[in-house]
Parts: sequence; structure tokens; C-alpha cells
Amino acid sequence: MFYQEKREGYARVGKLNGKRTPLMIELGDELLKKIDFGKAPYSAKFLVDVSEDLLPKGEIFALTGIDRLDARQLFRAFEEVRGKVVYAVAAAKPVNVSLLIYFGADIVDNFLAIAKAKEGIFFTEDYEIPVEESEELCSCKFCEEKDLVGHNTEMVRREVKKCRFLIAKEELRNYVEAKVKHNPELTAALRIADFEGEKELFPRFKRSKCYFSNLESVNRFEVQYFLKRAFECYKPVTKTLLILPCTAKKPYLVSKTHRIIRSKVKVGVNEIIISSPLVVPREFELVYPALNYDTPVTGYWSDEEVSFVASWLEKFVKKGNFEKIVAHVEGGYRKVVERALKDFDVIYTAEGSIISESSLKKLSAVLEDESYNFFDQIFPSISRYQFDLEFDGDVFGKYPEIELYKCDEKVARIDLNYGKIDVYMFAAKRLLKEKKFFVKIGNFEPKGTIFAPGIIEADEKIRPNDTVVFYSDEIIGVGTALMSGKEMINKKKGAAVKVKRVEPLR
Amino acid sequence: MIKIWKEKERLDGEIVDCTTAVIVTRGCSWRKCYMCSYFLESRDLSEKELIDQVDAIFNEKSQVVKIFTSGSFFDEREIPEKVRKYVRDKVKEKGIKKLIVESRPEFIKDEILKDFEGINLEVGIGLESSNDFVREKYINKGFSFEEFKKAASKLRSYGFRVKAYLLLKPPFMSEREALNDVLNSIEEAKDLVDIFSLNLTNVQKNTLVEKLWLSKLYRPPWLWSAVEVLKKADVEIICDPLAAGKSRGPHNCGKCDRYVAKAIRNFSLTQNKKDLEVHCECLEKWKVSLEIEDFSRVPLFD
Repeated sequence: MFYQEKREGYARVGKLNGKRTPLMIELGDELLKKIDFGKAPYSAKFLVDVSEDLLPKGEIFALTGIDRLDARQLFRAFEEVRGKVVYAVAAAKPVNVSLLIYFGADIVDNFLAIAKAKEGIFFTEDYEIPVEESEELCSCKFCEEKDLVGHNTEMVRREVKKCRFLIAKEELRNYVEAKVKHNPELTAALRIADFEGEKELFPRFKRSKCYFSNLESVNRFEVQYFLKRAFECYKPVTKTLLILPCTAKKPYLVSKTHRIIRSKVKVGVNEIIISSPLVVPREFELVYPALNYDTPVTGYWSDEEVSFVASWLEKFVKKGNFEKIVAHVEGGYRKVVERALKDFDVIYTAEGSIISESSLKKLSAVLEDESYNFFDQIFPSISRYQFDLEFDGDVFGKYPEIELYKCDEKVARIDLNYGKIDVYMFAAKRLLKEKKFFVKIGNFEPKGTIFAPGIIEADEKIRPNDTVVFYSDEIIGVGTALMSGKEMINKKKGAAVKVKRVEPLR
Repeated sequence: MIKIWKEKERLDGEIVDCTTAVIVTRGCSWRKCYMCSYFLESRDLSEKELIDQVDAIFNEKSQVVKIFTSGSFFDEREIPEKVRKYVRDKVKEKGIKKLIVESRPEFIKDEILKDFEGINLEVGIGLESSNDFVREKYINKGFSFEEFKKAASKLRSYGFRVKAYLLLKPPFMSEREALNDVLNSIEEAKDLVDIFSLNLTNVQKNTLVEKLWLSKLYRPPWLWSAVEVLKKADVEIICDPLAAGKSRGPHNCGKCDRYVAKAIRNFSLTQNKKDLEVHCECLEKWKVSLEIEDFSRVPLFD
């Protein structure tokens, strides 16, 4: 009945009886008759002692009464029914439906749209206003006919459609972060989900840009994961460390400022780039979200930003055995370095502009060339990050479009859409040998998409968007995960792996 | 303590004066129903104190006397034998034409009923619903429809009248389920019942219903649902909408509550369906509630 097409954290797109989800159903829909809504509202279990047999049940799970819950209870309700087809009943309004979908709602309805209309409330994208004051706000066909139920329903429907589009584009998180700003309760729910939620369904790599426009942005899974994982996988080797500020253009190295610095100064040492809220060793700058983010740059750094970045910078720096630390930074960046590296003697080389002649001259004078070439360390670093093993070899290509070869065989390339490594057969076989990011399938010829029922076994560490290696007795191939490894094993239906390349297993 | 008031009551199709009293006893022995906390008003009283209350009732002159204990009149822990017989004697002495009391079925026994032979007695039983699941799971009433039927037959075998209380909108029921359950209960019980009394759930202190209501998971029934029941029922049925118009009581939109409640009370006396021809724009909201609450399981309107 339900078929999952693509997962994006708690949210997903799919098909239910042929209809695209997330889906808004209207009062009168045939589907309503097939769902067990139970007797007691689901939310009652958070508030009173209620016997289990009165609660809703079924494969399509009706989360009822959830608009009565506080932020934490709301999120917990979704956590409790994860894995089922989730129907958030009588809860959707234009302002909150994106969060419900972000939390995992596959189905919503127009019940509140109807009820609010009967109370004379007019829905806009984010506000509810008395219908008497709504003139000139809308020219939809329903408003032309003074059909308020129709209008309100349409507003919810549009949001649901928008969310479907955003999940496909992997953009839902950016949208939800903005949307929850309309209501502190929604903001609280998102924050609680960030802090307390299980994250095994979240992708590490995404093709959408990560926006750091909110306080919540720092708590995004990809960001928390990046900092922690890059720190784990970071292996600095030089005696000198160069600290540089971030750039608007990504990857940093193709930016004008970083290019100018490199053209004037021989940089043969480990580098760490500081941003807000990221700290990025040069070796990891092609990894998502370092590769693809935007942050509001004003020159003003809040105390929280400074201390957050400083704490991570300190950790990264302490991982090396640096004898000399050169910080070619100024302004807020300098504040970060000062806060992070109180216990170190830091040489500050920027005066005014970091690319002024005097700054660069100063930098040149203190930076000893240790002949360290970060270029050779990109694949080993990112493969540690991504696969928990190291791929090395000869790197070819024009940065950042680079490829890794071993004995004339192509091993891997950087996938600049996702900020990850894409592998070829040489690397695929190694992954298979080491039982990492593997998917064992039945003996069929995979084309286009591998579906969950065809999967026999899978690495539980797999997250959506991960590069995976699939195999059967006859073939081996490389693909992109569309769901988590656990889902591949447990799901009855749904798209599991998008096939990129496949060849007979020798 | 004792509450006594005069009201109108039907007697053989006539509208007559009635003395209604809620006397204080040690309270209902069951006291586990999800919507009820009348037992909070109970007190341990001596026989003397009970007799004093009875005397107060019969000081008033009326053709009909109604005695409520908020429990069971036939429960000897509430009304000892001596007091019960005292009431019977008073009824005879004062020439009361009809005595109305209430009792749970388990206290309706031959040895007690015998004492009342010759009196026009009407006994109200809180059946609430003819559906055992509803009565057990949503109300926690503690007796079955079978037990009700046995008690009702017994009453009838003595020539006494049976009044059945039906509860409109126990917790965990949608507005429509509640409405249909009452109509269904009337159908299933009418052969054993002389008169139905429709009780509209109100939110009493320290009850499960109150907890749900405080969390906005429960709303007392719309008065429109009561009107609908009264319109559709083809039996003698009365309804006194307690706390009508209050947020803890059955209510409509706030504008029409007094008017609709008055219509319900009028109908209860006249049994004339024309009294129920009332209208308000909030009927729209009620209709939406009937449709959506089956799915939403929570109220959509205040």
C-alpha cells in the first residue's frame, strides 16, 4: 500500500495507493474509512492513564490529538510511531504542516482548515486572520467564490505540495528552520528534535545548500556530524599550522582570497579554515556541508558564535603536534583564535586586509614550507570520514574536480553535488571485502533502482545518500542509498538504492 | 447540606408540582465512574440526621416527590432499612401520588421492593448506555446490560415504573458516536423502560473527564446533540441540561445556549416535538463536529 521513494531524515516522499506522499487528504476521502482511529486520542497517553486498547493502531497510524501536546510530547509522539505510515490527524495548518512533515508525517488532512473556516478564520501561509480582514489577500478560485473552507484547504495543500518538492530537493530543513520562526512552540519542537531525536535516518551528504541563518542551524545533524567526524578523522602532520578565514565561495580554495594567498605564499603546511559555525581542515573542505553552505556575513560575531567555533578550533588544533601556529585572520576570526588558543603562542600575520601586500609579506616570512601537499591527503581523509577506511593513490584532475587512480585503475572521484566520494569497482571491491557500506541483493539484474524486497543484507551504518556497494553472486555495483541500512533490512516496500554502475563479479 | 427545590414533573400526562431533594448520605458505594464525583459531597451521617432530612422533604406539599442520594436509594449503606421504611410511611401518610428514587441494579432486590408495594414508585437506573463496551470502557459503570434488564423486569413485576438514565457523550466518544449510542440504547432498552432521562455529561471535579477536558481532549456534548436525540426518540424522554452553556457543561456557541436549554426543558414537560424547533448559526459547527470528531477524536471547537 505504501511505497517509500526517498528518505530525508524523518521526512520522506513516497506513494500511498498511487498517490504521492506527503499527502493531504480531505474530509470525505475513502481512505478515512480504512484507518483505525481508535477511541481515545493518541495524545491522551501523555496526559492521563488510558488503556492501550482504546488507542489508535494499524499500519497507517493515526496520531490523533497531537495539536494538544507540548513541543517535547509532539516530537516524542512521532518518534514512537517511526516506521509506520504516519497520519497526523487534525493537526495541519499552513504554519506547522512543514514541521509535521519534517517530523515524519506521511499524511495530513484539512480538518483544521475546515474548523477554522467555520470560526471565520482565514489562513495565509503563516498567519491566521479574521476573514473580515482578509480582503485583497488572496485571489484563489475559492476566494472568488467566498469559499473559506476551500481557501483554507488550498493553503494547506500548497504547503504539503511544497514540502514534497523540498524533500525531493533535500531542502526541507532550510525551509522548516525559517517556518518555525513564526511560532516559539514550533521552534522549541525543532530544537528538541535536534537535541533529543534519534538520527540514524539522516543523510550525511546532501545536494542542497546548508544555510546557517538560524540558531537552530548549528544543531542540524549534518553540522554536528561533520564537526565530530572530521575531528575523529583528522590526522595533521606538519609542525606549523596555518589558520585562515572562510570565504563566500566554496570550496574555499577556489575563492579569490585563498587563491591569492597561495599564489603569493608557499603553503606547505596543514591548514584549518574557520567559519561560523564550521571549523574545516583543508583536507575536508570538499565534504558536505563544508562544500556547500552559506552563512550571514556581517563582521559582527555573537559571543555564542565565537565560543562555539573556538571550542571546536581548540579541539582540532590539539589533535596535532603543532610547534608553531600562524593565524592569518582578523576581526571576529581573530577573536575566535584568541579564545580558542589561549594556551598557545599564536603568530598573527594579517594587518587590515588578509590579502594586502604587508599581510602576505608577514605571512610569507613566518610560514616555513614543510612540503606538505594537502592535495594527496584529500582522498585518504575523506575516505576515512566516509567509509572508515583509507583510499590512496594518484590524484588527477583540476581542483575540485579530482579523481583517484591506483595502477591506472580509477578508484574514486569527488562527487561535488553531494560533497562526498563516489567509488569505482576497485574501491567497491575493497569496501565489500571489508564489509563496509555493503548491500547484499538477490540474484537479479539491478537496473535503475534496487527495491527493499530484493535486499538480503545491508550494513546497518548506511544512511540515505551514502555511497554503497551492492552485490549478488553474479554482480557487483555502486549506488546511492535512498534509505537507511536498517530500513533496507526491515522495509517491505520502497526504493533502497539508486544504481550508478554495475558489472559482473569475477 | 440537603438541597430541596420545587419543580414541575409529569404525572400521567399532566404537569404537576414536584418536590425534589438531594439528600446527603455516605454516598455511592461504587464511585468509580469516569465522569462522576458526586461522592465528594457525601458524609457519614447518623440515622437521626437522615430522618431529619426526610422530614424536611415531606414538609413541602407536592403530588410528586423525587429523592436523589447521588447514589442508590436502595443501598442500605446509604439509606438504612429504618430510614427507607420511614420514607415509605411518609409517602403513604402524606398521600404522595408518585415517589421517584434512584438505584444501581445490584440493590434492586425483592425484600426491599416488597416494602413499597401499593406505592406509585419510579426507580431511575443509570444505565448510561445499552452497549456493554461503552459502559465498561468509557464510563467504568461496573454493571452489565443484562443486570440492568433483570433489575428493570423485577421493578416491573411489582408494577413499579422504570426510568433509565442515558449518558450523552462519555469520554472517548465522538459527538456522532455519542449521539448514535444514545439512540441505539433507547431502541434496545425501550421495552423495559417507562421513561428515559437523558443526562448530558458535565465536567465534574477530580474525574478522568476533567483531566481530559483540562487538556482539551474532551468537550461536553453540544446541546444540538441533545435536541437531536429528543427529536428522534419515539419514547417518553426528559432531559435537564445541567450546567448548560458553561464550558464545563453541555454547550453550543455561547449565544444560543440559554434559549436551546430552555427549549429542552420545555420539551421535557410537554413532550411536544415542536418545542424543539430551535435554530442558531452554530448548527454549522455542530455538523462539522459530527463529521470530523469520528476521526479527530478530539473536539474542534470550544
